[in-house]
Amino acid sequence: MKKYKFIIGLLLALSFGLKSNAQEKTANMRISFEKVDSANTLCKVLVTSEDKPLAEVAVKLYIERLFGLLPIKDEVTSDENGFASFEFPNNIPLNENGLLNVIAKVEDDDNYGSFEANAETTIGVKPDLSFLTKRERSISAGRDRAPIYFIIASIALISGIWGTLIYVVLRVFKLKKLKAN
Amino acid sequence: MSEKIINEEKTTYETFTQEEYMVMKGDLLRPVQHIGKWGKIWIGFLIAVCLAGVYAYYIQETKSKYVTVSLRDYTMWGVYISNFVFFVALSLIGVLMSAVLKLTHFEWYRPLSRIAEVIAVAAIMLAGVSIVAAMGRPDRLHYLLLHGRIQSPIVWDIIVILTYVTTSIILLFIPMIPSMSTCKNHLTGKPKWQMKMYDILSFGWEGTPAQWKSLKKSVKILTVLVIPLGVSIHTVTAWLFATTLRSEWDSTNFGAYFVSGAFLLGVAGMIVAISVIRKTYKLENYLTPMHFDKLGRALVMMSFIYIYFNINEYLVPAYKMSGLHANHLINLFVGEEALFYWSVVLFGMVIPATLPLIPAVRKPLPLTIIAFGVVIAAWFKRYLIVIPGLAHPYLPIQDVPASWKHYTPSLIEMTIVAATFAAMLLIVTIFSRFFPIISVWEVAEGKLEGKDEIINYK
Repeated sequence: MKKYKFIIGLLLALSFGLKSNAQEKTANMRISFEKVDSANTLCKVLVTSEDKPLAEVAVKLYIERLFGLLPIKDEVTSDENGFASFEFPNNIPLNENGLLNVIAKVEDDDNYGSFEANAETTIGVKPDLSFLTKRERSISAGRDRAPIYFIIASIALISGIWGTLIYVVLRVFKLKKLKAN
Repeated sequence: MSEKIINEEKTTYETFTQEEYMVMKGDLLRPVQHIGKWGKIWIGFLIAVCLAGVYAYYIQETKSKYVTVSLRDYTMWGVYISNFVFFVALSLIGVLMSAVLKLTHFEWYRPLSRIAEVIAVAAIMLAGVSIVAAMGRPDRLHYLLLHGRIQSPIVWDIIVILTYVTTSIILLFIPMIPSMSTCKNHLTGKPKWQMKMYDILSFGWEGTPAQWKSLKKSVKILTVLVIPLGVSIHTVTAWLFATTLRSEWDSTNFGAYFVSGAFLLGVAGMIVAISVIRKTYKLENYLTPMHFDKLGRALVMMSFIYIYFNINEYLVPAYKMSGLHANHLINLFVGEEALFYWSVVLFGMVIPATLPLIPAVRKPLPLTIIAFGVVIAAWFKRYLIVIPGLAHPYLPIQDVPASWKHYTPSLIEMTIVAATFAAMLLIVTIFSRFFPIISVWEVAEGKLEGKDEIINYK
């Protein structure tokens, strides 16, 4: 029995030891942008652990959109200086604040597990949303730009029919008053 | 033609005594007075199927639609929507059998009007349920009212369904007010709450001339209103398809095509309904072979109208066989769906258009069999309008999983569809157990046209 307790104890100690060892190995990323020329920009992700660059770490780069993350190319492995470099597109529409939220992710790395970093940039295209306010009233426009004749016709029809229904129901309630006595 | 029929009715109806009138009242109240063993078993069975549908819906909503139903990017409308179109079509039964016949003075409508109205109310309610079952996010249903665009056919559909269901309920209810009084005064051994319900819903009805005048005016207003509403509801349903980008649905014919199909289904549905009701509730004296004869003639007429619109819908594009239509039409005529398509044409159009021309076929049993075939074919017809149309989009289907190319309804979908049918039958059954399924006063009025007794009966 003692022997088993010893083995179980040893296994527990080992597993805790391994776990704590794995937890000790943490890594970070820092995202920076570097202009190559007037049309091209590089997005460089520096992967470090305890301020030392990490090589051979697979990094994925995403841009946050309204409903999810837009991947920018396939994953890139960091070089000996710890840099994973991505050609950053310059034609992505910026969000309403004029920014793009760029997210770098490392997923299930053997030594460092999963971690991520994010940064904001103004590289991209500011979408022209003026059509939303300038657009003429039409059948295809948004709900607040419905054609006036359409709104009037709909309201007239709906209120005419519902008005008649209400009138008929009120007549039912008046039946009691039409009793003999 | 109509005058001749009315004259026939008038010569057939003889004046009858108060005693005979009480017999009639007793006959029509019998299903309410007593529910037999088989009646209870039938209600129990329908409730069980409805509960199975509720459970299937629970599974669908908790395990996600992607896992539980066969709807995918191309066939995003499946049996739920074809079922919805079927129920909307069936709901037009009220317009045809009650309103149109009433306004055109076809006196034989009288025992049919309430049956038609209650089927219409049940069908339109279940059409709504079918839509909710198909919705990706049913919890956002109210967003259609809060954030919907008035330019969208979906919003028109919601508005027109709500309006039609309300109108149908009121039109069902108002002619029932004298019947409530009849129930209150003549039913015995019923629970207190039930008698109280009749009392409240009879709105102090005493059958005074002023009350009759008021009631009849209300019924007339609603009868006139319900016809354009019924036509609109099915036309808007057709526009849901016609305004969606699919070659099969690119048709200016769709509104009339759908409405004519609905009228054919309405007549067939009515034949099946009265056939079951007269046998079950022993109402052969009120739902007579004369009704089957008239409905048989109506079935032929509606079938020919529907065939006319089908020729416009299928044969005209088939003559041109343009690229966009060709795939879909060949698939229907000689391809994968051919057996399905031609069965629908045979049972849903050719047989009802021809066989009832023979007077012997317009007898209750053969006509009911034909009508039952029409009802089943009508359901599959809606399936053939919805699903193959979606499976043939403008751009070719490429690089997609195999499950996206073909649609076969899942067990969950079929359970929910079965439950909607059970629920419709349950509504009609429960209704007929609480209220006279044939309007006593309307039948009596027809038979006693011009007699004082009808004014003062309770």
